[in-house]
Amino acid sequence: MLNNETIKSAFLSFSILLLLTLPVSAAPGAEDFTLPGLDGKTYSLRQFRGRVVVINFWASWCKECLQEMPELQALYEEYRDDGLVVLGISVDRSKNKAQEVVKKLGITYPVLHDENGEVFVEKYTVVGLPSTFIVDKQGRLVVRLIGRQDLLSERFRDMIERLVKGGNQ
Amino acid sequence: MKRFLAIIIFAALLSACQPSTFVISKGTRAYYFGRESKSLQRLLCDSGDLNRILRDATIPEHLKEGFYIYVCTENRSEQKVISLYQFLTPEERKSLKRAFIRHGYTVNYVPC
Repeated sequence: MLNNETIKSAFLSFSILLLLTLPVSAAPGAEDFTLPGLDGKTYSLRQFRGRVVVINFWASWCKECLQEMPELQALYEEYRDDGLVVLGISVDRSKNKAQEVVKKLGITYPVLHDENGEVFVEKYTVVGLPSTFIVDKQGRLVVRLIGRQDLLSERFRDMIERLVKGGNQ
Repeated sequence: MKRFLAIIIFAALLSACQPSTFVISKGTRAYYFGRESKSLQRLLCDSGDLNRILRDATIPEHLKEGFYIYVCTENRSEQKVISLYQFLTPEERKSLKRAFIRHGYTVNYVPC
């Protein structure tokens, strides 16, 4: 029988397959943004040009987001030496709540705070939580995934590996 | 046949679970809040209902402005309304729905 996980997995495979078969030049440029990090630094997307960037939108009230974040942390640890950048973007109203989650889950990738929805609503018009976007080395938005994903699945890793280890196209 | 049925079920589930807001109704017609529709605009905007509802809801002011702009002005956008709704905390969502109810609307919850 078809269960939720099977459907999600099939949909993810289909999306990835579709994205990988599309001409890369068709992918839109990822809009730049600048946001404060929970660590007190300021981050811009453009500062990571030339590297693959995974952007993960989350909130402390979103249970599925909290399930996904440790997987993202594992992926970050696996590929950071290959140049993978992971940016978490918390849409919590309070910075403290986001900091608590980051500490509890042992997240070490940069987590930014989009308190007013400037990036979530105005720039990326994100329609679900969690949402994961991937920007390639050329600054193109090549993947847009809405909802909980299995970020440690073979298919997802293959895609990350292909993007991270692939040369400039 | 089984394969065909599985594809149909898969497509139906996907279409049923598109990200959305919630369904509101007043009188005989029901709409997704934020849907780009002239009759919804008459119901919410021309009547002044949305202004009153937003005034009553406990959500940040800039988000209220966003809802008004993306529902009632030339810049209306269903995707932006969905995004604003997704940006709300659970408490803010409840407050918005309660404000609709207080102003005579029926709110129906969407399962996914």
